[in-house]
Amino acid sequence: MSIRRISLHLAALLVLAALLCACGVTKRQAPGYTLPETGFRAPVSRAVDAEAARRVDEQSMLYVYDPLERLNRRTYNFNAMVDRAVLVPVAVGYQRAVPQTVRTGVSNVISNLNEVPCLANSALQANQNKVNVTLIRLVTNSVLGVGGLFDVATKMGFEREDEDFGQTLGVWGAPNGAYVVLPLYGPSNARDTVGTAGDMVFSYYQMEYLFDAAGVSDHALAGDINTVVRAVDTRANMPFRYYTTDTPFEYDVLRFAYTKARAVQVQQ
Amino acid sequence: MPRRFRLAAALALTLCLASAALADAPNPADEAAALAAYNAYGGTGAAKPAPPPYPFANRYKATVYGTPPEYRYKLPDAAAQAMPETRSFTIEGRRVPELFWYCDAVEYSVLLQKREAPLIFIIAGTGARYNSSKVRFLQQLFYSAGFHAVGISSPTHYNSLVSLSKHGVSGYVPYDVEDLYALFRWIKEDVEKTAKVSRYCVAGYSLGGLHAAFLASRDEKDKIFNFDKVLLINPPVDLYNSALVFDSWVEGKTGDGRTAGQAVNKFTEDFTDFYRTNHVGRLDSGVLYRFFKTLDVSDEELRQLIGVGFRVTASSMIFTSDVCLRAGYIVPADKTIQTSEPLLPYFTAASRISFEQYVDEFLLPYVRSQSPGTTKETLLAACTLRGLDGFLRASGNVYVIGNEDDPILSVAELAYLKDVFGGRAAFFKHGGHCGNLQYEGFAQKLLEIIQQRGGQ
Repeated sequence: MSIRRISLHLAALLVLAALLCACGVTKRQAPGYTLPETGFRAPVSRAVDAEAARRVDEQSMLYVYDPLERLNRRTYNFNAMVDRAVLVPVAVGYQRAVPQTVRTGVSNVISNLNEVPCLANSALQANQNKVNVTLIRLVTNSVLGVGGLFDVATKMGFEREDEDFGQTLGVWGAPNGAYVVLPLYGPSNARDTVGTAGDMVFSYYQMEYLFDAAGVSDHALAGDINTVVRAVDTRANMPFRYYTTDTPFEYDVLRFAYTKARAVQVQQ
Repeated sequence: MPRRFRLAAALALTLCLASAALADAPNPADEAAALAAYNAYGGTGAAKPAPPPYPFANRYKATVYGTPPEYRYKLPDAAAQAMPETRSFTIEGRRVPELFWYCDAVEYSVLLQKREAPLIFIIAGTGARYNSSKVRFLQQLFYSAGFHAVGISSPTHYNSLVSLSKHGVSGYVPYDVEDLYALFRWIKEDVEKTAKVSRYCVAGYSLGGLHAAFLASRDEKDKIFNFDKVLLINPPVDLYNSALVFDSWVEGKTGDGRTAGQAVNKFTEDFTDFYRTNHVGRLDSGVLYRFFKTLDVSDEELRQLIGVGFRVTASSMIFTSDVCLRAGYIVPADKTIQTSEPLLPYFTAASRISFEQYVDEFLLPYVRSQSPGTTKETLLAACTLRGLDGFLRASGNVYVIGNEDDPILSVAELAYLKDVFGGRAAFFKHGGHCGNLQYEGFAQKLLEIIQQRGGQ
C-alpha cells in the first residue's frame, strides 16, 4: 500500500462525495420560516470567558486531553461528510443487495483472518488465556468452519477476543497521549494511532503471504479488493451514524466514550 | 477492530440512557434486530392470556429501565420488520448557522400501507427525534393496526430548532404547536401524492402528548385534518411544573452527599465494570437488562440520573437556540462559532442553567419581544393542559393513557387528568414515565383505543 495509492483512493472518494452531495434534497417554499435576524439579545449573559473556560473544561465530566481539537474537529466533520455521502450509502446498498447469510460469511472470514494479529497481540501481552482461546478459535474455524466461513468456535463457547496493538502498548504501560481523530478511520489517540499503523503493517504482510500461498499473481488488485471488502463489512456492521446522538455536543460525548472504552479494553 | 467502536458507542448509549427519561437513547439498529429475532419465538396463538404484570413497581426504575425484552409486546412479524423510510426537506432561503451544517434539513419518517388507510402522526417526547426507539415502536404498533404511521421529532430537539422552528426558540407551546401544524400540512401534501389517506389521527408521548392535544385544538380553527382520534401518552399537565421537578432532582444530593454529576460517574463506572467482567459480544437491550439487574441504586440516584438526562437535553436546546438567534446568552452575541471550535465550555455553561432561569432570562424576554405585554403568568398559562380544559372535556375523540406513578405528575395533576378525561382516561398502576410504553398490556390498550370505532 503505497502513499500514492492511498492518495488516489482519497481523491476518488472525494469526487464521489462531491457528486453525491449535490443531489437528493427537496426544497420547500415557506415564507416566514427563513429565520431572519431579529436583533433579540438576552438581557442576561451566562457566557464564560476564554480563561475561565479552560479551567471549567478540565473539571468537566467529559474532559479529555485534546490539544489538537481544532484539527480533530475538522477531520471529524470531513469523516461525517464522507460517511454520509459514500460509506453509508455503500454499506446500505451492500445490505440490500447481498443476503444476510452471505454477509455473515464474509464477516466470519474477515474475523478469522483477524485472529492472527489478535493471536500475535495476545502473545505480546503475555496473556496465556487469550492466546489459548484465540488459537483454538483460529484452528476450529479454519478447519471445521471451512476456512472461517462459519463461526463454529463461538457456538462451542469460545468467544472472540479482540486484541489490537494499541491495547498491547497500553498493557505495557504506554499512556493514551493526545486524543486524535484519524481521517476516515475515526476516533483514536496517539498510542492507538501507532497501534493501528502496526496492525495495518501486520495485516498487509499477512495478506501478502496468503496471496502468495494462494498463487495470486496480481497482488495490487487483490490488496485493493481486500481493503474495500473489509471497509464495507466494517461499516455495514456498525450501527453508528454521524450526528444522530440528539446533541450538538456529539464530538465531546464520543471523545469521552472512546477514551473510557479503550481504558476498559486495555485493562480487560 | 470494530469492537472498540462498539464499546464506545455502547458507552455513548449509556450516557444518553441516563437521559432515557424524557429523551430516548439513540436507536441502535440492534434494537430492531433484537425485536425481530424475539418475534421469531412469538407464536400466532388465537386466545391471548393476560400478560404478566409489568416488572418494576418502583416509578424511577420503571422510568430509567423501561420494559425488559421478555415483557414487551410482540409485534407481528410484518410490522416488526417494516422499516420506516426517512424523508426530508429544507426550507428555501433559511438562515442556518455554519456550525449546524449537518442538520439543515427537517427530517421525518413514514411507514405507509399499500392501500388506502388512516394516517397517524406520532410526536416524540422532549429532546427526542423522529426515529427514536419509542417513536419507532409506536409507528410499527399502529402500522400493525392498519395505519400509515408518521414519526415526528420534538420541536425541542436541536435539529428542529435549526431546520424548522419559525422563531428558533422552543419550550413555548404556542410556537412549538404552530411549527408542528405547519410541518403536518407539508407532510400531508407530500404523503397524499403517493398514498390514499382516509382520515387523520395524532398521538404523542410525554411532551409530544401535550403537543398533540394543542394541535387538535388548533385544528378546530382551520379544520384541515379534523383529527379522528387524538392520543396523549404519558403527557405532562404542565410543562413548567414538570421541568421544575427535574431541576430539583439535579440540584438535590443523596443521603451521603453525592451530587448528580457523581451519580452519573458512578453509573458509567458501573457499566464499564459490568462490561469488563462480562463477556459482552453484542450490545443489545438484553445486555442492558442484565446490566440493570446488577445495579444497586437508590431512588435518589435514579432521580439524579433522570434529572441530569433532562438537563442535558435542555442544554442542547438552549445552546442551539442561542446560536440560531445570536442572542448572546451563552455565546457572546458578536461571536460566530466556527465548525472547528471546541464546544465543551458552552456545554458546561448551558448545563448549569435551570429551566426556570431559561424561562426568565431567555424564553420570556424573547416572547415579550414578539408580543409585548406577555407576562410570566400568561406565558406559563399557555403551556399547560389546563388551558384546554373546555376543549378536552367536550371532545369525545381525545384520549389519555398513562401511569398512576408517573413521576412528572403530581397527585393533583393525576386527579385532574382523570377528572377531565373521565371514561377516556386509562391509567396503569405502575410504569413510571413512559417506562411501560412497550409493555404488552400497555401496547394492547393503545391498540384498543386507536381501533375503537366512532371517535367523532
